[in-house]
Amino acid sequence: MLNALLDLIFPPRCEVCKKDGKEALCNSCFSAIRFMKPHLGVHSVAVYDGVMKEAIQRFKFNKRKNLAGPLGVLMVQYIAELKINMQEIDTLIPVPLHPRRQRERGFNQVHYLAEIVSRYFGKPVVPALSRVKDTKPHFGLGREERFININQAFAVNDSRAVYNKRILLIDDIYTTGATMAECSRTLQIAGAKKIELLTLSRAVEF
Amino acid sequence: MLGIIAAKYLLLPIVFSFILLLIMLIVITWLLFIRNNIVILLPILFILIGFLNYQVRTLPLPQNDISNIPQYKMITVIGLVENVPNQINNNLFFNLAAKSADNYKASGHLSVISPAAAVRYGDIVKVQGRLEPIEGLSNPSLLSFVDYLQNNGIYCRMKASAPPLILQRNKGNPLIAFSQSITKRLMVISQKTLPAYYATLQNSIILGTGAAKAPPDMKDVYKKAGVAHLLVVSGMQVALLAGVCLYLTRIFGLSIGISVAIASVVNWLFVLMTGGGASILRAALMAEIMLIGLLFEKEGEIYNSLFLSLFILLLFDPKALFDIGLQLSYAATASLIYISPVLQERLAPLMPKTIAALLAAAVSPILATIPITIYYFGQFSLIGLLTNILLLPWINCVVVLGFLNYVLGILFFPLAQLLNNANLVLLMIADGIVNILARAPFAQAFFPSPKFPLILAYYLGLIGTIEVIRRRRMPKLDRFRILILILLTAAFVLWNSALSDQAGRLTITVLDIGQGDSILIESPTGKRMLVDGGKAGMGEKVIIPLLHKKGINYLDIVSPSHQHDDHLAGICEVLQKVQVGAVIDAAYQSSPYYYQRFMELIQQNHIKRHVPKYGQWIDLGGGARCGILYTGKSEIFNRDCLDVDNRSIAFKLVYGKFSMLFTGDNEKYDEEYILQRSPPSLLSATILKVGHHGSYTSTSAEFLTVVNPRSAIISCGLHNKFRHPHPSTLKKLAIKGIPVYRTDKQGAITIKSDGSSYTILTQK
Repeated sequence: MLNALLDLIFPPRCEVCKKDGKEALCNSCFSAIRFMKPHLGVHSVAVYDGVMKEAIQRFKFNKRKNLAGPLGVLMVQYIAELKINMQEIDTLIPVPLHPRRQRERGFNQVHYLAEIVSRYFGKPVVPALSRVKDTKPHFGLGREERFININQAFAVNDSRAVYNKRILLIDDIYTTGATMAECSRTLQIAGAKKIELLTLSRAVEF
Repeated sequence: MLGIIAAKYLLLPIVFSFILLLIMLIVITWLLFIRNNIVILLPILFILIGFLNYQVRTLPLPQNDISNIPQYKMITVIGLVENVPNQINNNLFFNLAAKSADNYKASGHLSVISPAAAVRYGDIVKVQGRLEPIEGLSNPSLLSFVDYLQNNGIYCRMKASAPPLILQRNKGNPLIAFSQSITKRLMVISQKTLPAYYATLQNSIILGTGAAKAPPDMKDVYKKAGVAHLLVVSGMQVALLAGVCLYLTRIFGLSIGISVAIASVVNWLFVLMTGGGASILRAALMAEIMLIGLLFEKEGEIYNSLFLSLFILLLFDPKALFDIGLQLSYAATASLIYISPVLQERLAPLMPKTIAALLAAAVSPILATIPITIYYFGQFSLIGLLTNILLLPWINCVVVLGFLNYVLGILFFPLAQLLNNANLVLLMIADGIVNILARAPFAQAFFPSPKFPLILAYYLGLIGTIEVIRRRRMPKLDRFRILILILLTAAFVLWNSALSDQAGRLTITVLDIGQGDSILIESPTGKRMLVDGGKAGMGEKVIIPLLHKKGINYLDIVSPSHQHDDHLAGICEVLQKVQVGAVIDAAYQSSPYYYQRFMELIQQNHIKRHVPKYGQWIDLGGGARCGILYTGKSEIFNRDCLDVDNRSIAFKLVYGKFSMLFTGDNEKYDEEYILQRSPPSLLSATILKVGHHGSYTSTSAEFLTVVNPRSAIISCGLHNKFRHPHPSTLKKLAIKGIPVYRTDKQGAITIKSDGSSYTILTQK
């Protein structure tokens, strides 16, 4: 009843093309997203461009949490196409936000995505990593600066969840790989057995 | 909306529409089960809801309503002070919600004028005085203060004989009292940090004129410059407050529910602080819808929230639909949502982006509100576009700085002082621009009030044009569409001419200006003559607004019949504001204040002055003309008379077979002289404007016999202190079987004639 009333006042629509419809990402926008091949050992669902870029920005900055569903499903589909063998994964770990940033934004978008993946494959999401350094946003930084910026930014707060485990590390955007590299380094030090990397999108520089 | 309009003009019993709504609901639920196609019925449902709502809200007042108590009797009323009392000199004006009258339970609202006392909002007071019905002037297409009060549920007023006795304090709504105390404190901060004029300006810009009571002069200048909207609280303030609240609560890491709650409280507190006009309510409702969306993680749809806010607003107050502020606010907001983006997109390739955005934001509201401003004020600001372009980019800084200044003023006063020095500079620049542009020649244009078909056609045309611009192509003009377009245009033209004042007619409007005379004559060819102007204030209050609404900004002839202030004072105001071709007045020896002022104004404005002579004919065009029968005080003859000063210019207006006799305040002795000098055939007239407001000193039986009018018109004020018209005069007219029309009872009287027949319309 309340939902019907809210839908009347705030008509549901596609977050990207703004056409009326129940889905947060309409079918035509959904099918406009193209999967990418794994690149240098990193799995990325799609290029950070067009619909995907718009969708992620709406998700992260406009806090459109209803996009977590369709974007998570994209990751699930990608995994289902057997590019990652989920049999060989024990836990899902999302790349964390600094507590201050998380408070500002109100949520960790990557955690939401990991939850969706977890729901399909029955693997637990363990927020075993935390960000201990309040890093500058990577946007606008060069490659070198990013590596310096992110150095020593993460810490493992639950070493039992990491030690001797096969981990799927999840993030939203992969650009230079600085964040992913730092995270996996931290996890390796904590004794992770195997680390697979999955991001929702990958920024390709032209 | 349609429903409310229908309910205003169609008077159906409430039971009838209630049953209709019930049937409708049953039909809809029934249809819901058997088929899905109920979309067509929904608009009808909405119309019915509007219709019923209007009827419920305008139900007759209950038996014990204060306005049903016999009037003019001394009574004692105990009630709650409903607004912030307004003190002017030694008089206090406030509205009272009655609780008891002479120890009987009573309800309803009344407006009270009392000697000054320290009365505040929320006091329970005891006042003693006489109840009077609220009476006001009623003139064609002019809204009076009475209409305003009645719209607010106030149907009577009391003149208190002593200051009100305060029985209890703080019995009002604590929220309203709280918000008013905040407003008061904030305004004091401005007053302490800025010169008086700029303090009022800053308070008006931020809190609106409803709270800050901007002087009429200031409003007038801003209206002329086309930026009256600056003095109205709008979306800017509300958006700013909500934004700041959400940001601060987020920084402190509060949950979304709490931050939405805080923002909502601040939102509605601000509404109370500003006194809650239509535009602030619109903005607050739209903000609230946005906040609720935030709570449920839904994103607002701007058209939806615009119309939902309108729906809610009208649900609570259907009469608000006829409020100018509401119409302007919604038209402007809709234009910013609909027209502005289209214009901006098309302008963007031609100029820098920021300029395109600015131009679009300045033009769109003007396009959308032109018909409304012309309809209500008979004028619109030509300079408005320029003023808006000059001010829009930075005027919001004044609002932000002003808000900051309020906050600082509460926290640490010296800082506020420092900050307001900066704001003072901005305010001075803004006010300077507005003042200079308002004074520019051709700052405003006057138009006659458009009729509804024209307004409708304008909006359809506007929407059509915008759609064509938006789609970048003309719709295919096949034969069918052209036919429809032609038919529509023809329909509008026909309806418009059917509703408009037909040309080729003589129109005489005897205005309701209280005690006094003021008559506007419009000849068949459109020449205008104003005879007399009522007492001081009537020019500003009635005549000039009426002229503007009729689209008149030039009077061919202005003629005071004589120099008494109930005939001449208003004319002085008209001469200041309206261009005048010529003045006809008799030369006087004595020179009271208004006559001196009158002569000064004639000289200042280089107006031609005619001293009439007996037997002169003044041509008004189209066959209408005035023949001078008597030139008032300039007539030198030796006769006794009651009051030499009453001697007035008398003339007869002739148009074909129709004629009307105007005798000013001439008395029996003057009438006798007129009778002797002119043949009876020249004196007989279709209509007589009865001399001297119906006093017994005028209208002798002989004079009436010779003039032999078919109708008589008396111009006088309700309960005037001279007790015009005199019963003996009314009796003389009654004996002759002449129907009498009175401005005190019937409001303004409009006479129209095509040269043979005539019609008389009264306002009440």
